[in-house]
Amino acid sequence: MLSVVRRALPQASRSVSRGLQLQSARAFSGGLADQDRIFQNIYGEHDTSIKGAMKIGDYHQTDKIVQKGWQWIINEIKKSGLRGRGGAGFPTGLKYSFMPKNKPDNRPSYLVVNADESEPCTCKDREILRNEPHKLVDGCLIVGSAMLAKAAYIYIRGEYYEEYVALQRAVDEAYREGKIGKNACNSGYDFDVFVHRGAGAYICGEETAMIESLEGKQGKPRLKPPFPANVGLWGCPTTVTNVETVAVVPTICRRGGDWFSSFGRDGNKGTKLFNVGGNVNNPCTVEEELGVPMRYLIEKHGGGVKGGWDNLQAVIPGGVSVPMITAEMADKAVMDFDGLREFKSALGTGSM
Amino acid sequence: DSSTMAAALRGGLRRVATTMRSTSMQNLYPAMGVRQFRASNPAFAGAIYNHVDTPDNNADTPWDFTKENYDKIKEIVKKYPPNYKRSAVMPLLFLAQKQCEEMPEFGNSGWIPLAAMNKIAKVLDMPEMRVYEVATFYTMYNRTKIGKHNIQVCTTSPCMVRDAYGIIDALKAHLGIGVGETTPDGLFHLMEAECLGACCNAPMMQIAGPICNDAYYEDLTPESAIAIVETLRKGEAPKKGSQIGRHCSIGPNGKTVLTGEPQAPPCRDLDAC
Repeated sequence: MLSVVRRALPQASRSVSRGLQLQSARAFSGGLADQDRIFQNIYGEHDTSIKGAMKIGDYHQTDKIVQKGWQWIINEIKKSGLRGRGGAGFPTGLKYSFMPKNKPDNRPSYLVVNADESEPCTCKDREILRNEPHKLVDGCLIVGSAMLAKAAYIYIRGEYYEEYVALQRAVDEAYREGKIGKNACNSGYDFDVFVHRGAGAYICGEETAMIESLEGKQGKPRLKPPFPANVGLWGCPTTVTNVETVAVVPTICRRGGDWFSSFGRDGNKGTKLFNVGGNVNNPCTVEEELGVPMRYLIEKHGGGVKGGWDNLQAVIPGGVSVPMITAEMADKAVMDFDGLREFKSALGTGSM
Repeated sequence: DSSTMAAALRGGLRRVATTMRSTSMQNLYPAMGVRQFRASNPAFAGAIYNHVDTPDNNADTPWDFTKENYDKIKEIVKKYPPNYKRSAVMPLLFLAQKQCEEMPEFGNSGWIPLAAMNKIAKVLDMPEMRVYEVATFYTMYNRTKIGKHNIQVCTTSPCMVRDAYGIIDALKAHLGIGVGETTPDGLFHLMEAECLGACCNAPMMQIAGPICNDAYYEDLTPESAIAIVETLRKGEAPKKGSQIGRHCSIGPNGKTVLTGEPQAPPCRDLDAC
């Protein structure tokens, strides 16, 4: 979120930027090419039904991917360097590998998808949920099979009613076409996907609070340990993961973890959906590679700051939970996890 | 040393005592020794946690789900493990709230009477208090009657910098009510909401009710917000989504990416790797 200045900035901010040192950034290659974008229909201009989704590659050879087994899938995700897109940026391959593979008491495992996008400034998951829901359903199946999970619960925030209708329609279509349910995609793996609506509580975006909410209680967070991968939903091993993280996994499996890690700097690999909002001329959602300079994102995709770059007062780079940065820092900032940590901020959800 | 410190402390205490007797403190504590009572802001839309019995909302009010809703409940409960039916309490509360919109004895307004919560407890075999806990925790459940159309304007930072308060002021002036109040004809209830997740289409509002069904109205100006309200007053459905013709989150100046046809990504030979 960007806000414009109404009066002259105090001089104190200069001393902050003088002390910072940028790590050497890989030369920015000028932005992603359209064929490298994972979300081809993020604006919903084309058919969002299962037919349209299959035309742009969803569910393609999902059965083969599932049959490759959990080790192969987790390995691909680890090779890709994917980090959680929900704000924390935890290495995804590592997180998914925490799920237990041997369960002596035969408790089922669950995948919970965090579609409770309540962070102010963030509206990226909304576009996936309403315009590309089949990427999410496909991802749920592949990630669920990588965790040996029985079912996925997509917890969508209550305020997103139209998005819930679109997502439920997509899940029903996928069941009808045999993509999920018994023998999902003819892979031999049984997997269910259910959509659960939240009811207006920001705290339910936290993983243990989400699990409490799914259990039909108040969404009050639990203590960790025990971690959800050991004791989660209804006492069963659970992983809570963001919509975007799950939705990019099928493409990573198809194109290869090496392809995904060809974008971005070390430790900050891949592409991401960014939101540019606030006082800009062209507020929008756009998919770019991690490591894109903030100024490029604001000027090229965001249409520039209202009243010109010099009118910029501050930028919140990743949802209001992350510290704000000044206009001088925004000039030099690079949108990835490490790039913003240098300015004592964080990438968060990548929504400005 | 300790004696100088003691002297400094005594001096400090004397200064504090003098300050307390000064006029600035007397403005805050006009009658020293008497605790002030201050009323908090009035609560709105079921924001108080305790239930207050009224003639049309008490444990004996007759309330039951319709036959169609019972069929829906059967489908909802199937989504959760059979021994954890209470997970269905949230969808059922929404169902009850939606059903009250069609019930004239509850004012054709979307809210959840106490009797409905008790019925849900019976249907799901759970103690009533557990249903009350859930109904009081989440903000979308109304426990008192509000207007037919619940206008929720987002005023969190991204919308606020794009003049969401201007929208609120325009609606307040037009409807003649304050935030958290219902119009005298019972048609509109106005409230501020926390981030509704449409930050690229700021400022925006969500309207709950029988015609709008929680739709978003985005890219508002004070004039377009008032136009939406007037369309609702006539009983027609306003245009959903962006009010300035944007498609989803494509910027007002047009797309900067994905200008061609969508392409399926190449899939490598999965047998080989």
